[in-house]
Amino acid sequence: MHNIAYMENLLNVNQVAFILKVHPLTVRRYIKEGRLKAVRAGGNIRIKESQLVEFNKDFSQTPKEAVVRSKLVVSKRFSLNDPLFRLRGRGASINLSS
Amino acid sequence: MASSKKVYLTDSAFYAFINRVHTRHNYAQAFFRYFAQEEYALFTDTETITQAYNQIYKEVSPALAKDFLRTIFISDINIIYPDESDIKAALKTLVNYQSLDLTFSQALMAVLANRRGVPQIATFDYLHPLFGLNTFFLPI
Repeated sequence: MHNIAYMENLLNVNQVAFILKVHPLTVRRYIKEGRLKAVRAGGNIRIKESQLVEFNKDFSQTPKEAVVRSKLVVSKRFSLNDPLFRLRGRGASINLSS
Repeated sequence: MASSKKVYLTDSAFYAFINRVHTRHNYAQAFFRYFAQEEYALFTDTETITQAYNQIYKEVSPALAKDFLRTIFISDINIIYPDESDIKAALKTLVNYQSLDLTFSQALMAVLANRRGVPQIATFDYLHPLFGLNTFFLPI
């Protein structure tokens, strides 16, 4: 009796699919691929609430994306002393229609 | 309207700036002067540089094209070197886009600008409405 009181909340495939906003077959695929851990209650698949929370964490930003975004921070500022200004109007194309 | 001080430069902007008989030369000058005064962060990519180089080489002179390359790499313009995932994303965009007049280099540019959080593109060509990017206009 004491153990049952502390037993974790279990969800079925349809409930998990509803929460994750995916098709139930997708949830079954996640389980098959081992991405989402599930338990068998009799012959039925059940997912622990804690496992679902853990699974949701997998969708957070990956380190690779974080590295890409960190590149954005360091960016040089353009100024009036830039060497590009030396090229201003330096050429004239022969084809005047361009 | 408050906007980010980041602009992506296309080959047409470089070419119009360098070529003094270009119909948009004055606009291009005004663009670059404004970017410098307001200390914008300017971005471009290697593909765009190659295109600008080729255009200057063919239409103006090979010597100036070489000068352009030398200058762009010592300039404070941020050059983006596309990696494999950028190329794949550009290819995917190009394949899935309805209009046939979108080129690979335009798709790549849109992907790079979007991934680096650059919301505006300084161009004198038609800009495809990809990822919500806008053409840069000088504020009046």
